[in-house]
Order: sequence, then structure tokens, then C-alpha cells
Amino acid sequence: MHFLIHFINALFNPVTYFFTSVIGFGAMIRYREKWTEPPFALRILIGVLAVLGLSMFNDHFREISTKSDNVPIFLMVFSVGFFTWLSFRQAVVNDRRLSQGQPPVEKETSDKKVYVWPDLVYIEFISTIVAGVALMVWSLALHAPLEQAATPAWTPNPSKAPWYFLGLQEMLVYYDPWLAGVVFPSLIIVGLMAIPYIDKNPKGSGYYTFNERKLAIIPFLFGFLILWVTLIFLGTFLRGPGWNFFGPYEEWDPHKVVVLNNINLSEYFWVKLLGMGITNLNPVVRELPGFALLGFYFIGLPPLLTKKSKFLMGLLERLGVARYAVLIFLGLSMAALPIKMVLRWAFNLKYIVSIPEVFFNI
Amino acid sequence: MADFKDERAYESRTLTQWFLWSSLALLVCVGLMAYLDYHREWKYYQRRFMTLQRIQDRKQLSEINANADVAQYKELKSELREANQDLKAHEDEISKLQNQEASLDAQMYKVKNLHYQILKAQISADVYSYGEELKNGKNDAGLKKKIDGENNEADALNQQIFQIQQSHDEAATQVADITASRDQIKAKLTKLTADYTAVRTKIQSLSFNWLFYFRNAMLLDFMAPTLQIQQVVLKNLPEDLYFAKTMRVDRCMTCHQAIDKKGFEDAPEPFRTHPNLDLFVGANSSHPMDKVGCTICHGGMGPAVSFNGCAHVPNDEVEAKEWAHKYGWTNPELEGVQSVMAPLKYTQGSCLKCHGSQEYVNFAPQLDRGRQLMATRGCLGCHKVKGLEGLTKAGPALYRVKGKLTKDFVLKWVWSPKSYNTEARMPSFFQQSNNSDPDSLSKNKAELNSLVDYLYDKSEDYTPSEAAPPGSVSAGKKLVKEIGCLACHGIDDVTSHHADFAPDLSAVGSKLSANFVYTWIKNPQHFNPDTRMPSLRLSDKEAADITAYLMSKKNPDFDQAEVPNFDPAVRDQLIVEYLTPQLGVGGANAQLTQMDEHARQMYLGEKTLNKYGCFGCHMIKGFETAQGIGTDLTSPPWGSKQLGQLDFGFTDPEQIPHTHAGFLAAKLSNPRQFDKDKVVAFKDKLKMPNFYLSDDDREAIMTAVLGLTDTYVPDEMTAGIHGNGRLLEKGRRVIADFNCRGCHLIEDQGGEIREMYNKEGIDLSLAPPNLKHEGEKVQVPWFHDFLLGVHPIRPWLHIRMPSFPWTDEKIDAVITYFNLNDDQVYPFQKFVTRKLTGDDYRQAQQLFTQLQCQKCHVLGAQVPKDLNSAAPDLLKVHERLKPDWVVDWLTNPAAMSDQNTRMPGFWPADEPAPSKTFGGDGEKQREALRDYLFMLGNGQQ
Repeated sequence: MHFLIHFINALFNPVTYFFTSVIGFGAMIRYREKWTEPPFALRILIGVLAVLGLSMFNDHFREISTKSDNVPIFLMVFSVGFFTWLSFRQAVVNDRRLSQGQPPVEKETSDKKVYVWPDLVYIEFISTIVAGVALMVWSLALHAPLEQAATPAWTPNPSKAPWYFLGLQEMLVYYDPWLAGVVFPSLIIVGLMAIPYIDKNPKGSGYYTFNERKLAIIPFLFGFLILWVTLIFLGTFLRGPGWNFFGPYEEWDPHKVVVLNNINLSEYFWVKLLGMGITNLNPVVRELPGFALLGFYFIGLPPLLTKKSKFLMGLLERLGVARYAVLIFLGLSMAALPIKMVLRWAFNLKYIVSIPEVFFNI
Repeated sequence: MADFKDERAYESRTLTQWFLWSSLALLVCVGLMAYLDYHREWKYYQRRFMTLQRIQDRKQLSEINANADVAQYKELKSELREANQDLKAHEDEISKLQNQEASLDAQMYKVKNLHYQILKAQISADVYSYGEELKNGKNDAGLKKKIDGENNEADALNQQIFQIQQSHDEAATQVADITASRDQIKAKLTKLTADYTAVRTKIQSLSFNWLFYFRNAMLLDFMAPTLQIQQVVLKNLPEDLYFAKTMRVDRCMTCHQAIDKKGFEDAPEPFRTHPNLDLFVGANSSHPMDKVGCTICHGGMGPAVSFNGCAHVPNDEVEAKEWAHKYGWTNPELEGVQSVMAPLKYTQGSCLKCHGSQEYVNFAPQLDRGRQLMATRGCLGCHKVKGLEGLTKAGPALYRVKGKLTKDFVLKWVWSPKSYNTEARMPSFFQQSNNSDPDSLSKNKAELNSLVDYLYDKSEDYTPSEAAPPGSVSAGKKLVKEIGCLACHGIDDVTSHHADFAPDLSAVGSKLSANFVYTWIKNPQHFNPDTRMPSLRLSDKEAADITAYLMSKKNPDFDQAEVPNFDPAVRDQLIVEYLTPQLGVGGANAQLTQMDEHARQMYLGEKTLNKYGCFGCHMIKGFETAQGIGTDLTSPPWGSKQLGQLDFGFTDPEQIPHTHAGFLAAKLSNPRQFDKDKVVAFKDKLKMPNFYLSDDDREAIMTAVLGLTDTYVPDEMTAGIHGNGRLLEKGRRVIADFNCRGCHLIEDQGGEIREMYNKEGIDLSLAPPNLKHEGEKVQVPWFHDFLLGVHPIRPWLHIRMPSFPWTDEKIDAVITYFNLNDDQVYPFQKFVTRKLTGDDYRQAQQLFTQLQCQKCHVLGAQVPKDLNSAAPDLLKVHERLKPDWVVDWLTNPAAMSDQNTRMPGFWPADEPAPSKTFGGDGEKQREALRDYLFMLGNGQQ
């Protein structure tokens, strides 16, 4: 038992957590035919609930997971899971029908009408009541978590952002505030706004489908599920005092000590590779390798990839240069986060470009 | 509605069903919400208290009934009946008059309320309009005329009102005249039954009748509920929320309903009366509830009205279990509640919030004891505590240690103080739970040896000035017990009292040489000019006897114990460890080889001195102002420290509760236990020594430390800093520093040596006096002379007032203190009394003889028979006592001395004067006697 707890705790370190979720995401896409079957999905649900129930016997797990702040995150996880399942289920069914030459399910009811009055208004009214009931039950069952008065001498540890920003806060571990707090969020918003202009695929309108919209669904779900929802989950349950990582069954000890010796790319290049000292180097010269790498990533890499990949070539032809360039830029920006995470974990890489003299770090 | 069934995606019926069920769910939720809001813990307690109060009131009612004058009641009743009978004859007349009154009332209403008042309003409005017109340059003569007319009309109405009132009064008087005798009886009856009626009404208001249920019903209780949250709002004691200050609101009395009501002393909690209403909570106490509230002393969340919300904290684990079972209690401290309650047994610590600037609080003996212990045990040597800075160090000065103690003694002593004397106050640094392994032991021995070498190297030479002549052990033993040594020192031969202000003397023969002791007790300042030890003005013979006795007090086991020797290699290793951080291992070793034996001892000695902070308690040359090495207990205040800042190590929370009190209790009982199982370098080990405190002492110190909090208290609510406060505290500091309270009762506290008198059945009037009213009592010049050079008032007593080595500054502080404490604002006046002449003088003389003053009092050379229990010399009265005090004293000696005198009260209240002189007027007699005594002293006849 002791061993199992330790094993699971160890499993929930950031590296395995992230890679497992990425692999899980791949599996989710790959085996969608299987897990969308209701009996199978039910088994997954029961399994998850069973693990959760058993975990409640662990004091540390119970303490963190039953905090009034954290309970809604479970609600979020289950609702995201349910709606993902529902959409995939409908998409899979439709895809099956489409491959057999049948119309999608939605076609069968498409001749019916929904009147504003009485249908729509009535449904909206009922939804209001149901939502009201849910909020009331929630507020009666869970008391608002009031904490002690704020004191400059004793800030809360961990200091967490509101739950919906935990993904951003997680980014702050890997990037400086101007990037993680300003540039990336702006790109997310701009990127979301750009979707209708990039996406020229007319299929999938009015019905669920996966096969016909792979290119839209996979990157979106990767961004939403992996880079947003799982990071919220991670930020809520796995980040503890000192913003340290804690396994689900580990005590949140504010005195936890971990080794964190991170190294800049410039140090790797000049000191480790060339055996030179960097103390006296001009910062710009010092950071040349970083700039070069970034230049290659955003300017050199896209043409190279496009040339090598038939799929990307086809995409370029379909979308045109402008749309394609925007898409690739957004895609690379999105990938920058997991790439930096991997670099941090694998090579203790602190910054690719680091000019602390002007607070410019990437 | 037209039926589009075929083309509609949704069916109305289904939607309506959804609507039905969801609305019902909403209704249930609203009901639940109202109920949860309505159903509160405190209402249960208020209902229970109503029952409790009713039971008590019933008891009171039956008591009133039992004591009632039934005969009188019956008599009055029958009289009333008769009177009513008599009035029957006048019935017509009365009803006629009453009708008249009623019609006059109606007239009055018509004239006054309807006509007159409306007319007055009209006049005001017209005057305003007239004025407005004038402003516009228009003089409206018509309006002016109207106003005049209205005014005349108003005067007429006024006259009419007066007349109506008069006739009304007339009629009323007539009725009253007729019914006078009956009304009188009625009034008597009401008065007789007033108490009964009052309690009766109260009981009715406390019953659970339909009105009670109606007023407190759910959703109706917004109007005028009888069950209500009660609170006090304390404007003068705001709560500091770091970025803002808010008014403190205490609602404790919502459940603790009887906290300020007498009569519930034995009621179950939460309905018990406060145990000290005279001092706290009571309206006339010095800490009334509406000014001070509850949470400033008890802590906790004032505005909360649930058991857990208030942050109750139990005294101990037993109570914690009981609460968990009864109230579902959880530890608020572990949940990070901002202000948790202090466990009841440490509540006195809260006095520090307002009284922290005071030397002692008096009504908080446990806290005072804790603060005193922190000074005498040396806590303050290492730990800074606000309000207790600059006190005399706890241990003796080591400037001349070379001339006082042998090196072997010091080594054995510091190695294990308790093996020398179990009452030793020197704490134990070595052989503790974290340094008893062989490695630590050998390192400690090396440290100790170099430390002692270092101290001896720094020490000046000293030779006692006198050689002790032989003396009698038994005579010395008697002297030590009787003359007052035991007010400060303890010794194992006397069990009826054990003081711990100064070192215990039970094994002093193993420590000091006879010559040293002899010189020391005769003149303590010879060895140490700054010592607090006073002289008891011993003769050579007395000093020799005491020396002989003290030298006989030896500890043979300690004398034969092995001296802790050290291994030079270990010492060198320690030196290298100290040097390494700066020089690296290589450099450190190189440095070591350059040091000779002496330099090595000195180097490690100084490091050891700094490591253990010996200078916290001892004066050591060069380290007089060195900072203590322990945690500062006031910034941040220890009691308000975050739990996360306390290192509990790997201790088991079941055994050591991970709370403030738990940490402190554990730290004080075994300071090193938090090192258990830790990986920690030798030099980083915990080093707070073990004081081996008794349970009571530990709790006293805990009270004083837990009371150090960051609660904000504005200056105007802080005691000891206003007006004369600072002057008082200056005196109190001297009094505490020199342990005046070891002998004397001051402000009703202290006088510990009286314990010995009590236990051994010696008359307390032979003990050091209670210094209550001392400021009122003695004249300042006399007081000053007395403290400067003590000349005993009753030289025939065994116990002696010591001669303290005081400067004028200290004497002034003490005298000022006593005078201010008795409101003697300008004590430096010259006291002039009346000079008695002729018959007055003769009568006073007669009174003096009649009262047989000389039976007890000395009068110059004339002494009473039993000199050993005589009273002070009356010839000294004129220079020593204040005239007003003498009269007060004669009036009631018992009250003035708290029943601690053999002086009889000659003028008990309600009894005739003891003499016929001065026309038997007691007051005149007392004044004459006082004047007579003053004349005696002045040599006047």
C-alpha cells in the first residue's frame, strides 16, 4: 500500500503527468470508436469514481480535494469529460453513417421546428430554474471559503490565481510574465478570433463529425484539454506551497525542498560546449545562440517542414500562403509551451534568451 | 394554441412536466434556505437559558412569598374592600364628575388640537409669506392685518384652553378627594406586592406561549423576535485588519447569557456567571462589558455565533475530546483562524495587551509569576520581550569569578548544575536529549573546558577582605531562618517556605570558601559593587555563625564527582569546524597549527561563549551589551506567530499538539526534543538549555509568552503609560528588581515569607508589614532617610529590614511610587498639628492613659513588659507618620492593615466612645490623641 501510494505520487510528477496526458489525448483520438461506446464509457466512469472513492481514504488527498475551492474543479472535470464524450459519441455515430452512405443523425429531425414561443422561451425559462436550483444547492452545501484577513506579513502559500487562470499561472513557471501573461493570452484570443477566417472547410455544419474536421478538432482539443483543462487540474490539485509539485497523496508541506538548478541556453552553448567564460560577454553576443534558435523556429522551420511534409504542402495549396502562414505561426506559438516544458524538465533549461539587464527573457 | 404537433420538435406536455418538477425543486430549495438561515445554534441556547432563568425566578418568587407579610396583605385587602363599600354611596357623584371630565377632555381636544394648533401653523405660514413679500419690496398691509387678527384669535383660544384645563383639574381633584382613602390603601398594596409583581411579569415574559412562537416563527422573525443576537460594539478597541481598522464587535453574550448576571455561578456552561464580576464584565467593575467586551481578553472571533465559529480552544486534550463529542469541535488554530481563543488557563496572558507596560498586573498572579520567572530564570537573557528590557541579569557577574570559585567547581557545575543542587537555577546545557551521544559529549566537554579557561582568563583577581572566625552552626541556622535571608534564598533545612528569587543555599558549602561567605554577607558590595544582595547589618558574631552554618551545607556526592576532562584532538577538530566556512578546510588547519595551546583554548572559549550566549545571564567583561542569542519573542509577537513558523520537527502530533501552547509546553519541558530524528550538524543543534521547570512554573511562563500578541490596542486603552503611570512603573521596577514583595505585601500581592509565619503559627503582626497605605502613612523625609540608612522601627523583631545599596534615584522612585499609589499628589508638605493647651491637653493625656497605649507601645525609654512583641515607639510618630493617616488608623486599624495588626480598634462603629473625654465625641478624641502624640515627639508639654 505504502509502495503504491509512493508510486502514484511519483507518477504525478510534471513530466509523466504531462506526457501521460498527451499520450492519453492521442489514444482518445485514435480509439474513439471504442471508448465512445456507452458500456465502455460507463466502465471508465465507474473506474474513475472508484479510484476517487478509494483515494478519499487518504488524509492528504481528502484534505485537498474536499476544500470548498476545489470541489467545483471536480465538477468541471466531470462535465468536460461528459461533454467531450457526448460530442465524440455523436461524431462517431455520424461518421459511421456517413461512411455507409447514410445522412447524419441530425438529418432525421431537421424538418421539425422549434418555435420561439412557446418552445424556446419555455426551455430557457426551465433552464434558468434548473440553474438556480443548482446554484442554491451548491451554496447551501458548500460554504464560501472565507480566509483570514490579508496581511502583508503573511501571504497565503500557495498563492493561486482564480481557477480559470491556473493554466496561465502554470505558464508563468516556464515563461516570464510579459510572455506568459501578455503575449500568449493575446495570441490565444487573436487565434480564436482568427479561426473562422482560416477554416475554409464547409463540412460538419449542423451535425457532429470528426473525420470531416480533423484539422479543426485536434488542435483545438489539444489546446483546450491539454494546455488548459489539465493545467487547471494540475494547478489546483498538484501545485502546493512554494508552487512545488505534490503527488495526490502527498502532504502539502510548506518546507518541502526540491532541487531546482536551471541553466540558460547561453551557458550551455558558451560554457559547456565551447568552454568559454561568459561573464564579460556583451549580452547581445552572449544571447546570439538563443536568438538564432528562435529565428530558426519561427522562420526557418516552417518552410523546411512544409517542404518535407506532403500533408502540409497540401494544406498550403488549399489555404493559400497568408492563411497558411498565420496557421503555422499560431501552431508554433502553441507548441512553444510544451516544448519549453520539455526543455526545462529534460535539460534544466531556464531561458533560451536571457537578458536580465533589460528584463528580457524568453 | 394551434396544434403544430407534427412539425414541432418539442412537446408542450413534456416541457410542462419539466417545468413542474424544476419549480418544485426550486420551492424546496427556497424552503431549505429559509430554514438553514433560521435554524441557528444560538437560538437553542437562548431558549435553554429562558428555562433556566424561569426556574431561578420561580425560586425567587417562592422566596418572596415565603417572606411576604401575609397578615398585612390580608388586612390591606379587607380595608380596600371596606373602602370600596364606603364609596358606593358616592357612586353617582363620582360618575357625574367623571362624565364632566370626559366632556372637558373632548372640548380640550377640539379647542387645542383642532383650532389653536392649526391657527398657530397658519400664523407661521402667513408670517413667512409676509416676509417674502417684504423681500420683494411689497408691503402687503392686508396680510399684516390678517396676521394681527389671527394673533388675537390665538390669544383668545389660549385663554379658553386655560379655563378648560382648570375646570378639568377641579373635577379631577374632587374625584381624588372622594376616593383618597381608597387610593392610599391601593398604593400601599402595590408597594407591598411590587417585587412579586415584577418577578411575576418577568416570568410571564419568559414563558413559551403562543406569542413567543409567533414572534420567533420562521420568516416572521424579522419583525420583533425575542430571540436575538446580542452584541457590544467597542469603539475604543478596534480590530486591526492590517489595511484597515474596524470596530470590535463581541457577540459572546448571545449564548453566554448569564455572564453579567449574578446567581448563575454554578449553572452549566455556557450559562455560567463570570467568576470575577467585581473586576470584569460587571457594570461597576474596572473592565465593564460595554467598554472592554470579551475577545480582547479571551481572544476568539467576536462576531461569530456558533461554537466552532468563535474559535473556542480547550484547556487540554481531555476537554478537546469532550468538545469534539459534544459540539463537533475542530481545532481552529490548525484551520488558520485569525484570532483563536486563549485556553482558559492561559487567559491571564491577555492582560499584557493593555497592561504590558506595567511591571506587574496584580490581578493576574499567574502572569506576574511568569514574567518574574522570565527575569529570574534568565529567559530574558536570550529572548527579547517588550516591556521587560534592561532588567538586571539573572545570574551573578563573572568579573571576579576567579576569586570566588574553583575551576573544578565551575566545570562540574556547568556540566550538570542539578547534580550540585536540585534547586539550582542555572539551566542545563549538556547531557540533554540531543547531545548525549558519545560524539557530542566529547565535543561538549572540549567546549566547556575552553569556555571556563576563557572566563578565568578574563576574570579579575579577588581576595575576600576578612577571614572568617569560627562560629556556631546552630546559631547560624537560627539566624538564617529568622532574620530574613529566606525572603529571597531557599534552603533545604526550612520546608515551610522556599523562595527562589536568589540562589538556593542548600549546598553552598561545596561552592564557596568560608572567607568569601563571611566577607560577602557582611558586605556584599565588596565582591560585587553592583550586586542586589543587601546587607542585613550583621555583627561579626552573627556573620561568623551564619558562615559556619552555610559552610556546613555541603553536597558530598558533588564534591567527589569527576571533573569533565576533554580531549585536545576534539577541541582542535571543533576549532577547524569554526574556521572552515571562512578559510576552507585547508586554511583552517593551517590556522590551527599557528595557534598555541592557550590561543586554542581562548578561540574555542569565545566561540562557545557566543554559541551558548552565557552573557545573557552573566556580566562578562566585553560582553555587557551583547545581544541575546534566542528568538525575539515580541517582534513578531510569539503568540501571534504563524504556526508554520514553528518547527515541530518530526515530533508526533498526537503527543505534542501542533499548536502554540503545544509547542511551548514541549519546548519548556524538553527544549531539545524538536531535534529528534533530525539530520543536523553539531553546531546547528538546538541549544536552549533545560530549566527543569515545575508544572506550575511552566504554565506561568507559557501564560506570559502566549500573551505576547499583535492585537492592536490604542494608547488611550493602555495602562501604565499615562499621567503618573510611568512614575508608578519606575517604582514598581525597583520593587520587583529588589524583591520587596518577598517580605512585604504590596498592592495586596507578595509577602511570600508570611507563608512561613502562617505554617509555623507565628503571629503575622511580627512579620514584615503590609505596605498598603504606606504612601498615606509615612512622611517623605522620614521615608527617604529610612531607605537611605535603615534604622529599625521595631528593633526587637527577629526579621530585619535589609539595607539596600540604593542610590537616590531608586529611593525616589520607590517613595514616589508609594505616594502616587495612595493618591498623595504633593507629599512634600510640612505637617503642622494643633498644639493642645489647658483642658484639651489634660483630657488628651487622660485619654492616652485610659487607652493604655503603653501596654504595647514603646515610648522612648519606657518599654512594655513583653518587649519581643512590642509595638513601635510613639515618640517617633511626629517625624514618621502623616497626621491624617494617624486618625484613620485609630479609627479602624483592622481595616487599614487588612486584619494584620494587634492594635485594637477603640472606636468601633455604632458603639459609644471608650472615654468620656471631649464630651464622648470619638472623632475629637482621635484627633486630640494624634495631636498629643505629635506633641510628645516634639518634646512639648
